[in-house]
Amino acid sequence: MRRFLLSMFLLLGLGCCQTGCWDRFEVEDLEIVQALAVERAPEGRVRLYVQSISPKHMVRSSGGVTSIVSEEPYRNRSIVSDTVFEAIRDLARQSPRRLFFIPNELVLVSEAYAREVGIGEVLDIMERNPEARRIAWLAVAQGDLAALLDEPGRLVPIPSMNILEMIKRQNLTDQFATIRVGDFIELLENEGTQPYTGMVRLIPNEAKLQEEVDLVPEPDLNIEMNGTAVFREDKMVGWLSPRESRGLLWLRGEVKGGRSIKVMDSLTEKPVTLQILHAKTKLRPDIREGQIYIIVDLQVESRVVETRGPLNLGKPEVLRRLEDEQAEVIKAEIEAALTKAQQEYGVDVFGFGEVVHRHYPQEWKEMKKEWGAFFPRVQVGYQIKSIISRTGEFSRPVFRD
Amino acid sequence: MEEMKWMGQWWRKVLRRFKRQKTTPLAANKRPVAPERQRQIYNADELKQLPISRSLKKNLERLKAIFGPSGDAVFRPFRLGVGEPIPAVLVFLDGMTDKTIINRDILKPLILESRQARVEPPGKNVLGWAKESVLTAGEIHTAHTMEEVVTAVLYGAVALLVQGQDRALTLSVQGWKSREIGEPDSEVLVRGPREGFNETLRDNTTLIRRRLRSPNLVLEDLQIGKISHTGVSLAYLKGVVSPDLVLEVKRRLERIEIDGILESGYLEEFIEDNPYSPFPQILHTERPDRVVAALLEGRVAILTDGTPFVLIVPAQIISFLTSPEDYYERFWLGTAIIWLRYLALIISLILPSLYIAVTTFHQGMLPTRLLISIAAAREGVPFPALLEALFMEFTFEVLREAGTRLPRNVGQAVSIVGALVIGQSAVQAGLVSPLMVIVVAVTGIASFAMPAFNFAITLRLLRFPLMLISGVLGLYGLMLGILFIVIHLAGLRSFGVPYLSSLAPLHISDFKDSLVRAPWWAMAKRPVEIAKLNQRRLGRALQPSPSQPGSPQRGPKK
Repeated sequence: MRRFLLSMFLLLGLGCCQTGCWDRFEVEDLEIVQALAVERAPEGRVRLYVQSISPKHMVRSSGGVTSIVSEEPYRNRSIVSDTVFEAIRDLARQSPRRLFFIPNELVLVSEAYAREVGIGEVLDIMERNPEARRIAWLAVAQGDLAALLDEPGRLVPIPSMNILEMIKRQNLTDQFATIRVGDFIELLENEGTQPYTGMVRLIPNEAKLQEEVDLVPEPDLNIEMNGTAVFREDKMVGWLSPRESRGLLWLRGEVKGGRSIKVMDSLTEKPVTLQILHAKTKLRPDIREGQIYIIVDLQVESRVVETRGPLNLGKPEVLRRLEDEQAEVIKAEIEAALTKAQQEYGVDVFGFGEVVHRHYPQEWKEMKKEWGAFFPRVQVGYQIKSIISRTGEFSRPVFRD
Repeated sequence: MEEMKWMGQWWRKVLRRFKRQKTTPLAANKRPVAPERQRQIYNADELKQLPISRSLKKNLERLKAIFGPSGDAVFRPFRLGVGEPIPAVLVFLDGMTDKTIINRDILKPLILESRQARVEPPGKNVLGWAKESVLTAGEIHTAHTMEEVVTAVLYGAVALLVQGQDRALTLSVQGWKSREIGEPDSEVLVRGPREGFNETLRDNTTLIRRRLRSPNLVLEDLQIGKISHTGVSLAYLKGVVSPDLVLEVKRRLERIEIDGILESGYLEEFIEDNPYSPFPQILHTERPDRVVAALLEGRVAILTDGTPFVLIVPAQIISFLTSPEDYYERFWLGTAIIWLRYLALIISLILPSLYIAVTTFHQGMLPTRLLISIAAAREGVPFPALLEALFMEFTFEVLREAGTRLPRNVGQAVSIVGALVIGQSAVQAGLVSPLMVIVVAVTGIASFAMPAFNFAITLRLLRFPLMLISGVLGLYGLMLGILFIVIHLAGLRSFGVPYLSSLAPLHISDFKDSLVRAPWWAMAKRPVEIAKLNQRRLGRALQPSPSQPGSPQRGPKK
């Protein structure tokens, strides 16, 4: 009996001592943070923006009871503090509830902050804190953070969801390369590569009517994903344009299919638009006489989605021409990115160093210290297998010459 | 479980101490025993020592003293024979006997026909003569003691006592009103026999016997209850059942000393392996087909007079999760339903606890949208999730209990009150969140999906400690609770058969009854843990298939 009581006591007693379950919170006492943004403040301080959701309004607006939501379902707060974590804690002065960061899916840093201060501090706290998720997306913001976080999206209730949804559909354009915080940290830790991530900016909304009408006006601004920020360690050093970003994604093997690719038939000079169905990239290093070569082994399969002018796609030789053209276009995209990264920024965002490391571990030991010097001199060769597998519902266009 | 044993010893010790304190002052002023004549209380041992006297008068006096002022005791005196009529008397209980039979097969031959035929009863062996030549009733026994007479009369027999005989005849002419054999309310099937047991032991054994026309079906009779002498029948199939099991069941039943048995539940608690476990270790059913299926697997059924619920031992956890219909409908359906029940089992046990744990400790585990919905629903609810859940579960249990006990037409009112007041008003008043109502409702429905009512009750009970521990420790506590239950289950046995058997200990061949319901042609063997001696129940190669041209017809070997 005594043993039984003792074991029960131990069971419950030890159970209660375990970690992890002390911080008990009711759901409604939490302030659900959806996005976090950091920018530079004067005197070496940081300004933190936090966008959180008001569940009550969120549910009502999606429930469709009211057509025009009188109150926005989100709340933005901002505070200036010495460090990021201090800022998070200081927000308690402004928020009636406990800020809850686990659902946070988006981390924005302003371009100035990324260029001049470096995002190391943000990453550090993201990795150190159990409540921060490594699966949050990281993006560099151009322009006013407050405006970015307050753009009335209409289609989605929360402005940061705008950005998130665009990031999730990256493969439809491949014109920017966004990665998650965890992936960024991994790239940062890896000696053979440098990190990168996508950029966001505000642009004027061209669809807005110029004259005054009796309708609810279109918003003035649009959010747009715009190219890729390139980092050396945790500091942003340059920017890849949308076209160069495609080159980066090709080399990184991140092209999954979905984006369009415009080719020009070399014989008839007629443009044809293709859509990529599958793509696969493999990098293979080769060191010959001190020269480092990277061979890009690329397989791409696409289909014809649009032609301008008549072109008989039923003929195999036409398709062969288009396939060759496709390979050329891809090569050009890669070249553009390479030129920028190798000549202008000197930053190995493609992970060439890692590829060399894998295949030549011995040589890498010597090379890694001066990889910055080796990288601009790396020569890239191509082996592109380009296939156009489908031509759509019909082979001949409706129009004639 | 070892702990349970300690708890039992401790509890007994406490009880003993309590009793001692209570009984000592009473024992001091013990009353003197009343004299024999005034007492008129007889126990079986005393009656056994009472012989049947040769004097009819003496016997009658004694019987009148025994049955006393009971209005239903009938003493019918008459005379046997023509020349020197011998006084005799019939003793029986009105209402327990079939009067037509008494008149036609006992009184008429004894009084009328023997007289008409002018047959003189032999002086010495009147009873033998009556038994062999006169009485046309079917079942006749000779009683040697008063106890036998009384016992027989109490179970609806007619006792014939004749002057000058130190024995008596008892004739079974039982005839009382009993409930019709109808469909059992507690186990309704869409497809399957519509017969259910009733309250009469003999009717119930008949239902089993009719389904198993085998001389190997044994129905052993026992009587349990010092006062009630309730008839209990052990049913098993010789050659299939393991003899040790029958012995063990008998041993456990025979050690019961109780005044009366009103329901098989009394027996259940006396013969369980672990009396403190919340889990039922004995299956009960109202369906004869289910009993027969169990007998064919090598189990033992315990039928109790006065209740339609028959106990089946041993029972594993799987037994409580199957319904006879699983085996009557096609196997795809059976398998799907078994899995549905497993899911329902898990839901009815842990869903409220999971909700509490996740919403109060592990909000990060929820998808953001769900988190928002929950937070919006809980906006303005004054209680923490734990209290809210306990409150709703409590209300639900009260409603269910009220709905079960109330007369059927009032029960509907209860369900309306429950649905409107609890479901709608509580939410509108902001006392509970609509999500909690959904959680409680889903849990309730899941527990209704359990085919065994007693097992569902166990789950209902265990839900509450699990909710408490999840409210204190979160998912960690929930896992702790589940582990505790699983450890307990793993140690539990029912008549020596591991409760989790076919899963732990693992018997792959028994998966045909647990993980899937295999088609009948594939269930070649009986459960491993139960039918140890006689495993095979099907012939070989019974799977139907089109016969190949040129090949002999497939089928069991002749």
